[in-house]
Amino acid sequence: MKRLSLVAALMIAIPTVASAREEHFTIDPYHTYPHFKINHLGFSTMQGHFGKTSGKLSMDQAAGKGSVEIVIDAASVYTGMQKRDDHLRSIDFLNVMEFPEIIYKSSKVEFHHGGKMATVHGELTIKGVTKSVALEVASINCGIHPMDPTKKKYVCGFDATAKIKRSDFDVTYALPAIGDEMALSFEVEAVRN
Amino acid sequence: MLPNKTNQLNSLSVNELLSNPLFQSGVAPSVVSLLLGLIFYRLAGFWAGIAVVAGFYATAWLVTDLKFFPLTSTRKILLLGLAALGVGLVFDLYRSTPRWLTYLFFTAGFAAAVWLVWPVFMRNKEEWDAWMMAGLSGAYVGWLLVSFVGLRDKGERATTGLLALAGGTGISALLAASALLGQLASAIAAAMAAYLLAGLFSSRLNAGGLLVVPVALLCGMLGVAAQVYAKLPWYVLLILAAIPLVAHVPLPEDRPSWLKVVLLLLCLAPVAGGAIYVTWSQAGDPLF
Repeated sequence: MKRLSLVAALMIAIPTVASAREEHFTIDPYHTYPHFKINHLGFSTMQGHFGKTSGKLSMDQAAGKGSVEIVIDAASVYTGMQKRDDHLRSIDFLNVMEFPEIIYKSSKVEFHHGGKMATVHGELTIKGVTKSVALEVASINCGIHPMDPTKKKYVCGFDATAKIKRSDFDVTYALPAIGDEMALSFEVEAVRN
Repeated sequence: MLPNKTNQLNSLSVNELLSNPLFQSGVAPSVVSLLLGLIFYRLAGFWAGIAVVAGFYATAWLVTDLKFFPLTSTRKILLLGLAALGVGLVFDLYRSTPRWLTYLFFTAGFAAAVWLVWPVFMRNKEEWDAWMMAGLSGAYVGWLLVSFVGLRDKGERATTGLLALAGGTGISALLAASALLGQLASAIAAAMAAYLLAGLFSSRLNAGGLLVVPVALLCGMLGVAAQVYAKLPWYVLLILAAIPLVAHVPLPEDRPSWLKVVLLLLCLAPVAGGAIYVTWSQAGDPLF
């Protein structure tokens, strides 16, 4: 009878322990790109992205916990035109020689819709200026990578968006001709460690 | 409703004017410099050099809001320009230029440039390129400061030299992918041109420490910033560094001021133009 109770207690406890386990992931730089959109002189919406991103994240959906830390290489800005990219890298905008990294660090993650969506609260640092920015994660999809021959590579993908004002980060050149508000979107894939 | 709408339209057109680069870097510094230049020449010639610095800071206010913190490379330039104005004032009160003061100016210019590029230097200090970059930047600003300080009592030579230096730096910086630095240096050129006119109208063209110390320092720092933080080729700084040497060209000293100014500009324009041409041949047309 005692042995039966012990087994029953273990059976109850094991899933609880398993769901409380925090999983750690490393950002896949080949499938993670921050994109931006900004109004250009009132004529059109210019789009671009950053080509080099690194970072890590952790998730414990059952406990409703998580963290994100993403480092973007500011010099990897790409809009499809070398001269404009040079201008964006210069002291007028991102000043990448002086501030080579754009960093986002989360402070709190709130999962909702059964862990399929989330709101990430955190701090974004651009040009040495740090401001609170909330990311709305519209989808979280996790599973074994279908093309991994070992069938062991566990990947989570995220689609997130945010809005910032560049003037908040001291990127004020050509305001208001070039828009202040920027729409950010992130395609992120991360591999479980 | 109608008066409100008219007010809105007026405020819109004023905002458009204030954010127009030509107004910011051409009209505003010229008007400020010309007016202050004429007033100071009439009332207190000693202070006339302030006109150019005031014209420059009018543009800085329009383009950058003139904030000083958090400290970035652009803000370091703006802070050092104000500090140099104070140094220029003290220098004018101290009339002679002993050798030790020349060394001191060179060291101060060198240190200012190294402070400007310090974040880049510290990140790459293991590489010899970083030491070359810091050394070249320091030597460039130190040289400009010392050479223009030597011209402070020669109004025509100092003012035309600084005009050519600012113009060459401004257009080169603009071509080298920094409209901000290009605008700031072009503002100095516009203010210098207006100051020259004010001096010629008033029949006395002063330079003095109040003019040469801050303006030479600002031009030097803007050139270094365009090289390190934008894409100005380093050898363009070597061409611009020749400007104070060319400003020593022999002139008929007994001729009127305006003629000497014209002759000097004829000699200096090819040097500034050469710097612009070399930058353009590397960078191509500006994006803007």
